[in-house]
Amino acid sequence: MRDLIPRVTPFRILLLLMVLIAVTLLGYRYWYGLGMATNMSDALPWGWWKGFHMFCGIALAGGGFVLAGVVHILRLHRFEPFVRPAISTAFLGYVMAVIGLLMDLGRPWVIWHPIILWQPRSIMFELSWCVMLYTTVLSLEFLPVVFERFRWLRLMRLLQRVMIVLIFAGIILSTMHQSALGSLFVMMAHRLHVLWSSPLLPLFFLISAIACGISAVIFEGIVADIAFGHRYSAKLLGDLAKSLPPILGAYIGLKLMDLSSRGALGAIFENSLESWAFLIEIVGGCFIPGTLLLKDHIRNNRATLFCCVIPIMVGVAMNRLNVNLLGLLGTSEAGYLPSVIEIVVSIGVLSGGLLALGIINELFPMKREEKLHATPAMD
Amino acid sequence: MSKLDRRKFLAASAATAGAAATLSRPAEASHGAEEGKFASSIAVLYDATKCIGCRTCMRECALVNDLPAKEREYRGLKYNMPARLDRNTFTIIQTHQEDEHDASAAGREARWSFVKKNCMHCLEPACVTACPVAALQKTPEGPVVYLEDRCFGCRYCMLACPYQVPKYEWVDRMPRVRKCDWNRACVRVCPTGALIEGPRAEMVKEAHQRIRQKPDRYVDHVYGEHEAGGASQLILAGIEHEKLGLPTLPTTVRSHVAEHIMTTLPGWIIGLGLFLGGVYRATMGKEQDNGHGPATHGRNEEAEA
Repeated sequence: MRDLIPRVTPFRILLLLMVLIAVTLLGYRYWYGLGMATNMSDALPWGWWKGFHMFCGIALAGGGFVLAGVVHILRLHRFEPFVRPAISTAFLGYVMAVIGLLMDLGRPWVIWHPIILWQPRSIMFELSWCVMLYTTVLSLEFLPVVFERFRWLRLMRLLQRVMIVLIFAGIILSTMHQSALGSLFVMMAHRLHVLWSSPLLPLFFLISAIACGISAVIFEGIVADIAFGHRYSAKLLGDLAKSLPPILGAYIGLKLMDLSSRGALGAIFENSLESWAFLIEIVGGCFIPGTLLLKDHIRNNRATLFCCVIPIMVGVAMNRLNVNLLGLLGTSEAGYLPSVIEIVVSIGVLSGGLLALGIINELFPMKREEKLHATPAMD
Repeated sequence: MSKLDRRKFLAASAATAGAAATLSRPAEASHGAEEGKFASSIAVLYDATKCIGCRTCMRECALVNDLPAKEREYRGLKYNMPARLDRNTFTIIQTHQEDEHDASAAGREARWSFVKKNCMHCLEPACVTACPVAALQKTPEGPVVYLEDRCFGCRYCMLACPYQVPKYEWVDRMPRVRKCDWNRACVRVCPTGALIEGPRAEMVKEAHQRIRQKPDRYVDHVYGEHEAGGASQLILAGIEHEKLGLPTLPTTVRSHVAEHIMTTLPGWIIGLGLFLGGVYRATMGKEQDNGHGPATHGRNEEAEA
């Protein structure tokens, strides 16, 4: 059992401290109400917690379904080493998003209501089901890591028989979830800024989540290289990044088609806060990194690759916050900036995620032990 | 292709294929098909030109709904207090005075008006479509009601409502969404007849008749007749409704787009499932072609590193 006790490092103690601070602040939030802890108001009822945890977090977790699809459906097996880290990150990401949701909902103790109280015309109803089902699927997809760790081979074989069903279900559910996050805002056409208010929002959210997910997997791969020793060759990381320029290109193209069809191209140059945020998101987050990644020597070098995937992740995160917060501020009666509590609690949740990820990496096998697996590459 | 078919087609493409919808005009949803259905349901007609701003309606509303009303704010000459709807104010009388400069530019005295605001009780309410647990429901009699025990507090209704009516109990351990529940206490106490109620079709007719009889007194528009697919609250005014802070809305129902997206889901699930299955089958030979398993391949990569 001793090898199940994680190492205690100063960094981990710091993370734990952040988690404890967040828990204390959450106690304050639950006791005194949302309005005391956050800056949300009737004018802008969705704030930083929804934007950061639900929208940015879920986009960053997109790597799970993409890598599962690439390796198990497209069978590009050389990317197999990325699958486990991607699935465990996605799983943690979803758990963190659910925690974020529990913080943000007015009555979190009845979060299960959509199971019994159906209203299938609502996008939010679809979202609730996607979150519940996909988190379950992700936890099952993560289980082989646990089974392998404890050598529960019979259970592992049992799970492997249904694994392909789980992978199919996982991909379908997460495409639904990612796009539904965009569909939410189709109903807010009366409020959302013209640069983002599009009937194609579900498609945009899906495509950008794929780009963001792949970038996050590369980012994590490079960080894991630094933290736990080299695992991935620079060539393999670069090959995974090959997919980014076409995806980002298609995204930019669709965005322009959408803007011009709605007659909103002029809004890009209106020189407002919104237009600059949009430009940074598209040019800085998509165009520049996408173009740079076309070059072999940039892609196949860890340092330059790292510098390219970060703006993509930041760009997509910015897009989510732009749709969720900035785009709605213009039509809102009052302004909004997240309160200190909102930010500190978010940092606490993030710290908890990092702590869990580090411990999983330390105690659980992130590399498949092939001799334990009857079927090739099925988890 | 009929109008209806075209609309459905556009919404479906918006959700799935995407590009097709971008090339045509983006999907705008239908006109309020529900207006006929709600012809005999109860509607309230508010005539701003008959309103004297006494705010008896606000007081009665607070009493009947057991809201902590600040009595002094509802009496005397301090208008616009509170300034807007909030968790303890389900209805409000606001005053509006035209800008002096605008008026003199148009060669007349500055006009002024009261305006009563509360939930419009839409015929096809966005909040009802938005709510994932049916905590908001449109009853056949007209009201849009809130069922507290169903709500889990996602606050999507607040963002979906084109009038920004639902408010939240932010400083509360068990918060509720708060809004007018259409008990029409305000109508019963109105001393000037600025508020009247009756079957919706009759109220619409009455409103148009008033405009016809006194065209100088009214703006030729019955607010709420077609706004966002129509509402159970109708507003007549002497100043453009937009200037009174009532949003200019399309006659289409925005939530139809969301509903159409939901109807595309079975197709998406089946289509993507078949696609993934097809690719899965098509790539099946690849493992055998390799000669060695995928794992060995992966290991080769690592050896290169």
